[in-house]
Amino acid sequence: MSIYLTTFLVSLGISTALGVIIVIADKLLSNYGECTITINDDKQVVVEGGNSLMSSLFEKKYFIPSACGGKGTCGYCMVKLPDEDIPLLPTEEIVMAEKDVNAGWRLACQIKVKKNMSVWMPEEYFMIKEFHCRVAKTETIAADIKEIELEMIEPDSIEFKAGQYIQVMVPSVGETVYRSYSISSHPGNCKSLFLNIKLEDKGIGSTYLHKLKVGDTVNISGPYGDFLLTGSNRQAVFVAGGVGLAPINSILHQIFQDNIDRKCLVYFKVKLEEEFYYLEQLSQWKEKYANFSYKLVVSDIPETESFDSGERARITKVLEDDFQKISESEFYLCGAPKMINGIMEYFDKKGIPSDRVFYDKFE
Amino acid sequence: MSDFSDFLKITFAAVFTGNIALTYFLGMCPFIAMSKSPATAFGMGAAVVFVMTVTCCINWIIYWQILVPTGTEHLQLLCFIASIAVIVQILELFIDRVSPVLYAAMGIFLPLITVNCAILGASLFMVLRKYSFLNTLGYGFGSGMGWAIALLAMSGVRSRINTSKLPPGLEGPAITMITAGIMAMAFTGLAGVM
Repeated sequence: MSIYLTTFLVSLGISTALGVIIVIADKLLSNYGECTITINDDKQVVVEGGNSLMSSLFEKKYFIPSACGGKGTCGYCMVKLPDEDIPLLPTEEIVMAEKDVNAGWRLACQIKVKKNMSVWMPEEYFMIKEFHCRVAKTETIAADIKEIELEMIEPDSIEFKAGQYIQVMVPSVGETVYRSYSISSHPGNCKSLFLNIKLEDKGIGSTYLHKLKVGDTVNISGPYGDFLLTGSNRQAVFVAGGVGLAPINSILHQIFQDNIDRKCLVYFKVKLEEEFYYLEQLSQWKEKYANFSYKLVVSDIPETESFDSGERARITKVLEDDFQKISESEFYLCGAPKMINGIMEYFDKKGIPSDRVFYDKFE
Repeated sequence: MSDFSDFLKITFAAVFTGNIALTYFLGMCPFIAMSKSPATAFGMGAAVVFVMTVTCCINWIIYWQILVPTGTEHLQLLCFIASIAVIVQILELFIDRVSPVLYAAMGIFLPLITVNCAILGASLFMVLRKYSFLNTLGYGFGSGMGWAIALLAMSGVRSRINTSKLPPGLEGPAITMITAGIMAMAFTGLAGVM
């Protein structure tokens, strides 16, 4: 027999045998059958076992807040498992605060459904709905940043609070992927909402949204999040890192349209000057409202380029320079985790109490 | 009797004098990454012992009973990698089912055992040295044990280092590599026993 034929037959035989072994093992070891999830003692859903609790509940239209899309990095998808005795996972330990662990919270994205289980979740999660939307506008507003307007089709309106976010269902092979984006428009307009999307390298959510054209349809769920303006009278200092301006823009709209009498200062920080957007709007507000001012900060601008419209420094350095003016304020931070962690560390050093600092990290 | 004494010698040599991690420096990626805590090191060590023993035996059967008689020894690398992938996949399904904690702790390093060069290295050495099936069993188990012992020892040393003050520039990977080097010297010292 020719060596080619033998090689072919031997490879075929061995790979078939190994394939059969893996199929049998899969049937025996990862087949959990259908599992019933009891939610808050009164609702029941039947799901295919073996998937994460979060994706199983999403499939049955029970939505849980999540900013990282189930990667286990944001720590938002907290539920309680009253009757389960699953030890705390190392992946949960990293992101969860000790007080949440002690209170019995678990991360729904890390827990797998392997048998019938009961879950408890806060009532407000049931307010989160799924929406079918149409892209009404898509426009490039800065380098790699698009403003996308989604018009509500079914249901035809959405109620949300300024500072909240939605999750976009990104079609992909296998499990549906969800990505979170803050709403940048005013809650008064419930027929549509605006998103600011920065194109991330290899980001499946931002790549999908950047490719959308006017008329395309998108499924979203929401609203989620508690990055909301408090009722305090203190000056509100907002620090926006890049597209972290989105929820802050929504809050500012709320402040001006509802005539909330509060001094506001915005630090808009980007890496390069071409990433600034909504500058016209900010300058109009500054002219119109005596209580409002803003400062532009660029952190990574090359030495050879000039930048006269703001500061060129690290954000913590700019805050340090202005510290006397802002030390008694309430702080609202939104942007990349690295920036927020840096500012939190700085505030900690300066003795600013944590109950005056609110943040929304873009995981 | 001599067969059995060969078996013991090969097993002992694989664990200590020919330690696959510290004398051949194979499988160093997970060796550094998984030695942060003794608990995860134990899990990873147990997984490697299992995978190495089973893959060495299966690869022995594939090589001597299928490839050699059919004259297709050139397929060894391909077949070895495929069988290792299958065993690791089965192990992954098993750990996910019985211990979610260990599964989460091992994270990406569990599927990465597939491309761990120590596992493939053990199978290739077993062929090169023309071991019998019994000796292959001892060699696979011994190599796995050797790698696991080195990993556990390393995790023990690292958990002590974590609470010690180090000179600047030596923290993190630097001290880990130096520790691995010193441990390797200690294991080489055992060569005299044989």
